Amino acid sequence: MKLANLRQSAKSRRGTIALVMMIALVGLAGLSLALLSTALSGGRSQRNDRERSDAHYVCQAGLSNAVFNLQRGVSGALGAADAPVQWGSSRYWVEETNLTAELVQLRASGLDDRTGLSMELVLRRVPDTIWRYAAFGDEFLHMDSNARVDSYNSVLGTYAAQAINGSGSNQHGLTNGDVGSNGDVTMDQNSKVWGDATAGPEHTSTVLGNAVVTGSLAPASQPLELPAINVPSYASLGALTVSGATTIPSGNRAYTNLTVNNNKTLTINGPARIVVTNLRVKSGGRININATGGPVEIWVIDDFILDSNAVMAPTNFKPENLKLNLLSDNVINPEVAIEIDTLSFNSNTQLYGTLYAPNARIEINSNFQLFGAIIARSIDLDSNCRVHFDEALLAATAAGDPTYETVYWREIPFVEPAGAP
Amino acid sequence: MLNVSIRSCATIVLALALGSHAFALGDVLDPQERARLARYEWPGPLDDGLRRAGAVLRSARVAGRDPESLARRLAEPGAAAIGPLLDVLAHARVPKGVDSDLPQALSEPQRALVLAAIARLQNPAVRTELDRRLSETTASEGTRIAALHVIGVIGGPGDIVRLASIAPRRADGQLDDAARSALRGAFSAILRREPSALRVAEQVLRKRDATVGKELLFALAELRDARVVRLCFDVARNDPKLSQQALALVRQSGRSGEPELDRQFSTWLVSQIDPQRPEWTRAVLLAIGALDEGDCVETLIGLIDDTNLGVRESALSALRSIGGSTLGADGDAWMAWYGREVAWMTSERPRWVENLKDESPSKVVDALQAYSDRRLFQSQLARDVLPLLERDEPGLQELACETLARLGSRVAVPALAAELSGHDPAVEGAARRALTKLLGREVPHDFAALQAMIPAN
Repeated sequence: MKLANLRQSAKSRRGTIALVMMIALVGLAGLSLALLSTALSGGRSQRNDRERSDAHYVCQAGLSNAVFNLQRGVSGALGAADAPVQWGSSRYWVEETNLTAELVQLRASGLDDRTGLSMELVLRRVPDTIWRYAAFGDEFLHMDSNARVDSYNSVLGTYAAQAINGSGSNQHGLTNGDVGSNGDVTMDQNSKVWGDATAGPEHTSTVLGNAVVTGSLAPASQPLELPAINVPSYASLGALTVSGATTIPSGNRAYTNLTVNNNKTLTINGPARIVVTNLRVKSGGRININATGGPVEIWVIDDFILDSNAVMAPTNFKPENLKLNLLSDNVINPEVAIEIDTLSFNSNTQLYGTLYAPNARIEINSNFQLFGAIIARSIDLDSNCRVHFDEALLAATAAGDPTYETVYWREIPFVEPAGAP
Repeated sequence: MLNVSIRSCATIVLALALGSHAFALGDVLDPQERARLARYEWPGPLDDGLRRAGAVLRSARVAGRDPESLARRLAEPGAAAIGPLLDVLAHARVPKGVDSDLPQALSEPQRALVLAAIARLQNPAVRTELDRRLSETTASEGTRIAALHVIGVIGGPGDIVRLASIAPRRADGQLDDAARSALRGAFSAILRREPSALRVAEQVLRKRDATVGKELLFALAELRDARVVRLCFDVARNDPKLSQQALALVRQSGRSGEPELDRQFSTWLVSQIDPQRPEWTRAVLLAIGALDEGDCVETLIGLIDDTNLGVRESALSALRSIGGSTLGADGDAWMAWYGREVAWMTSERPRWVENLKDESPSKVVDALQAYSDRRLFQSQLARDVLPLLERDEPGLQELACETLARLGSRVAVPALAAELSGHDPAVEGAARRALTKLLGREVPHDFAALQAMIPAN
């Protein structure tokens, strides 16, 4: 009996041990599975992180290559969704879109194994020309009451045909009539700029009262360098006073004093390069530029005087055909006269061209209208003055490939391209 | 016979010399040129003093002349030079040194020479002569403008108020271009020389003379002085005619160095956002961009989708100015960025504050690195870093200076200035670099001059 009880007890213990071992085995197996799962999940996460990081870098590499291409004057588009550029073990493609004439959008997508990422970079195209502003003053630019600046494009037609926006004193053409300075820009009551007002780095555009700037007030990232004027040397033909219809044939020549008398017309046939000590167009006088054969460039050493109702214009009214370079320095030599329509409030003096006067302070007091662009040491645009920037100058005067400045960048959602490899 | 020959030769030579001289003058002074230059003729008799000044000033137009030595020569006669130099300024003409000189207008560089010479003369004597001329009932516009220029170089804070009454006005009460420029130049020169003149400037602005106030504000803008912010706040709130200009001025002066003042100003600016006045709103937004450290970011993000292009652009510009980022006009991206910055302040910062206090330099360096990357709430962060300047470890002090410079808060200016009188050249150099960045201009080596630049906290 006692032995039977002992056998029974031993059987019972064996069952308990087997059960405990079973539970332990199941536990260990579960633990192993959990560990395996954690390890796999960690590996996946690490791989995802690495792939995302690689995709990020490959996107940046794509954008960098695209910008490099743009700066060389070729397209920023690289590869395509169905034919990406191989970059190590990763791939990328960049799409280029022109948002406006100035803004270029680059969208780069990078793929590393199965992880994709997209980035967008928007750049501003800065043409390689100093003629980017309607009016630019090296030291400062000031606009007084009722001065107006806008733009048009002489390739598309006349200013009048494009000045169809707004009405009354707010009638204007296009909205790229930027004003700028390497110093401060100040705009008084009632003045208006249909474009940007760009002060120099560390300087400010101050818009007072009800003056309006339709574009940006952000300062420039770097100053605009104004090149020195190199005056060519030609044999002087002495003084020329235009008292009847006169034509200067194409070619290069120099005059001491060139005066166009009241209501008389001087025609200059291009191509021509003319150096003048003093240039004066008296009231109602006119200088026509016949640019059929080429443009005309004029250098003025001292005085530059446009009296009331005087006109200087190419016969096709394209500002790129008349370049006026004023060597005049009315700061060191204040006797030098730079007078643009200062006498008559109701006059209609007009200039179609570019006026470059890096040594001179220029103040325009009245109803003067400039079609083209002006750069001077300082500019004061007073009441009722109008400057209409010709956008065609950007292309016509650009010396090389444009430079690009960053407007912004951001990450954008990655869209898996259909049929992507 | 020989004598006759000699006399004849001499006569011929003399005649030739006179003839060529006459020819030369005739060549230069053709009637048209003579008429044109006539307006620059000296308007009165010439005495020796004027001729002497004229000769020196004319030589200034010859390249290569040293302005310093020319100014010394102009001032050489001492008190006797005062009258002629004031005359030159009043007439804005250069007297003839010799009769054959052509008429000449006074150029900007020549005027600078005259003023440099006057600055060398005895101040009381110049003032006496100036006051005598101004007291004459017939004091011309030229005399008044000359007085503005002269007070600009010899004046002190007490003259700031007086300048407004000296400036000649047109019949409509406005200033013409020459008066405006002279007044602004005089304000600017005195404020630059005498930082304590700022308090007097405040009095002038309180007089609510918009014409004078406008020029004074432009002069203040040139100072780029943090103390101007309080003045701008006052003008912006109380003077509608000058308020928009005062806001533009804030962008040039930057933050005040007094976080509470900047916060009050920013809060007031937010209340001034008015969709009906887009240009005013743009000025407000850009001023917020110059002052705010993060409290107004959500308001700005809300405006980057505004219907007005200018308001959108200004809101984005302000955000970029505050955040130092080139993120685009994407409200969600800005909000995400802002969320990350705020989260760092609430959850990460306490840990780094402890690290900054740690004895272990490596922990402190890690903390400084973390602080350097932050772009919001810089004044709070700068205050966390400031105690490091007290530690006796030059390496950490140097790093702290660099971190403070990166944070860009002017609350650090007084403490950094104190480091300039320390004994470690490396720390001193780092403090000087940091101050130059925070103040936006070169730090003077003269400690007293530096103290005058520091905003009062």
